[in-house]
Amino acid sequence: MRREAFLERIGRRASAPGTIPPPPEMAPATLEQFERELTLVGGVLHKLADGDVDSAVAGIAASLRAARFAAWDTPKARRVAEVLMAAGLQRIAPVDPERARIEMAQVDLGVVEADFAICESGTIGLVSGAGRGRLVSALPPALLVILTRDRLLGRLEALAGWLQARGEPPAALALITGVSSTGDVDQRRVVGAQGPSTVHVVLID
Amino acid sequence: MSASEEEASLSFPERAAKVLATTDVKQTIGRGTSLVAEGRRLRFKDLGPAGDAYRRRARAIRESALARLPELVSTLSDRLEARGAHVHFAGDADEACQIVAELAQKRNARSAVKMKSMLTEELHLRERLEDAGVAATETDLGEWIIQLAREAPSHIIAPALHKPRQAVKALFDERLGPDPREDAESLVARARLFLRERFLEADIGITGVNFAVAESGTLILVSNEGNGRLTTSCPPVHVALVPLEKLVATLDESLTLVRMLVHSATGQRLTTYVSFVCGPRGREERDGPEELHVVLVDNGRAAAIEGPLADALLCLRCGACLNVCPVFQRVGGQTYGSVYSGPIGIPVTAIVGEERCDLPHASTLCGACAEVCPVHIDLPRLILETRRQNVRAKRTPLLERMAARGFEAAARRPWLFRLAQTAVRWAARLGLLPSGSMGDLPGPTETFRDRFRRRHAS
Repeated sequence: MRREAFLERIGRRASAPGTIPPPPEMAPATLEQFERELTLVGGVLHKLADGDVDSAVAGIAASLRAARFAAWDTPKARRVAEVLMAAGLQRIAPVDPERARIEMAQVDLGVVEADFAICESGTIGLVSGAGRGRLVSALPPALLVILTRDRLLGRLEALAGWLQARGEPPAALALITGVSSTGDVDQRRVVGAQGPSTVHVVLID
Repeated sequence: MSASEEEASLSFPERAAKVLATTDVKQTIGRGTSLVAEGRRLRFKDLGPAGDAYRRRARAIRESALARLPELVSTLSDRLEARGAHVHFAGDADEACQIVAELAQKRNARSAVKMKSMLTEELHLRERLEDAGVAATETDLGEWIIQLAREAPSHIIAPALHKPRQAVKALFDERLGPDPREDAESLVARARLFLRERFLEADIGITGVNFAVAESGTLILVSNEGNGRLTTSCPPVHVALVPLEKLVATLDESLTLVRMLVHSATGQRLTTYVSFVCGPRGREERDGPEELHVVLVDNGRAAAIEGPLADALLCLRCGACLNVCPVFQRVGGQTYGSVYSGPIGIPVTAIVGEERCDLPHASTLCGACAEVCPVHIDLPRLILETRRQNVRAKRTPLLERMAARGFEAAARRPWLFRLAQTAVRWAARLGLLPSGSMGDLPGPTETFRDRFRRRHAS
């Protein structure tokens, strides 16, 4: 069906809508709330000074017994990548989009840099783009997120303004709030359905 | 007829009687719905007056979108096309399935992965794809479980709610091969392994959407499992089916709807994953779909906007009404025998063109649903309207309509009413009323009307 014909089918609603009231004023969401909420949804928070990041990252990889990792091509993620390679992990960097999913399925740990975080819910936000693959944070069973304090947003509603300031919206934006889980078996929350079952957030002071 | 055809031809009361007599629905459906209903209640208690403010805003947003729908459809299409997505328009289920089947054919697709979407159930898309030689695997764990079991969903957001753990294990053993582990974690791990393979080989990813934002040309999908991200990012083609009522004007407005959807469905602050998709992968991206197709679907919604059931189009598909409905809690979603179950299922089923005489009576009109609806849909009123529509269309039994007409005639004529009362009273005294009815009760000495007249005679 053509667009014009489709549009013509749409009826006119009987009652005229009023104005849309704004969202209610809420108390600002703080860093403490981010920490609390992240923990509640199963994430692990590491609050670190810049100098401690490298050893912490090596420790996380060791605890996960990760052998292969993939990382975004952003400044802080590159730094983490170097630490991991120095620790003996193999880096996987898919080039051919048609093979990306097969290669990423071999990866134990994905490393990304948060574009923003939402304190209200312990959420981190990732924008896709050049050197910023989607599958890095979706396929591997473990995810390491590097976050800096200047990227914290308060509530979910702040996302609209953030995107507007950025200009053209990205092809894909992912909000990740903790670990993958399902309640479909036994009506009990079981961690690790399809997405990462472990999420480490390294918050650099 | 086959067992399943026989099952499908039963009415709601017949199916309900079977369910109540045979299965322990209280354990599964009752427990599951109570859990999420409690989650919702706690979240809104926590929000306090802000919760009410959000609900009013959410309602206004939905109403505004429906009033501006043609404009929003145009804007959405323009934005998506500008980003390289293909936009298609489907008037009905047949056309929608045709569009997707042709897309699959063009790509020589053999396998697809699907994310849970009520719309695709309504369109019977999976069956149509199977006819076209495309094997579509559901990737929400609950949806996949019922796909394996060849059953209908028992709840909008938890489709396998009716299956206890042992039943899931038995199903997996039968369809995937035996495995001694019985715990939920192992079952989920088995499912994860199997579904991963499907994600890695699928030619097409098929999803619905939770919302579609016109101003930015954005599709919003939520999930807790992560299958949404994999369905939209692994296969080279992503097909998103968008029913008309999911459109919203701005990103700002969509965030309120996302908030209300999640808070009302489970009580969470946010689902684990919220994906915002604006187009296929950019030229510089190394993963993501090569092609994005968006199919806008009418299937009865466009006409319903003008009609008395229009408010049902405000629904966010949170499932809160199901969770508090005394009927749903007792018998579960499969008993309704329709794609959309629970209170909201009654008007929505009518909107998408399915004529059902039994469904509008699968309700006590208690109003618990209306109380929890995040966009304040007056569900009892809509349910009554579907009953009215059935009567007007003469779909109800003749005897019932005659009895109602008879009552109406007597109620309008006091002398006739009194005559009828006297007749019934005499029938009771003479033992003419069937036993098991009011004939067994001791009769009153006088009718209310007689007593009233006696006491208040001036």
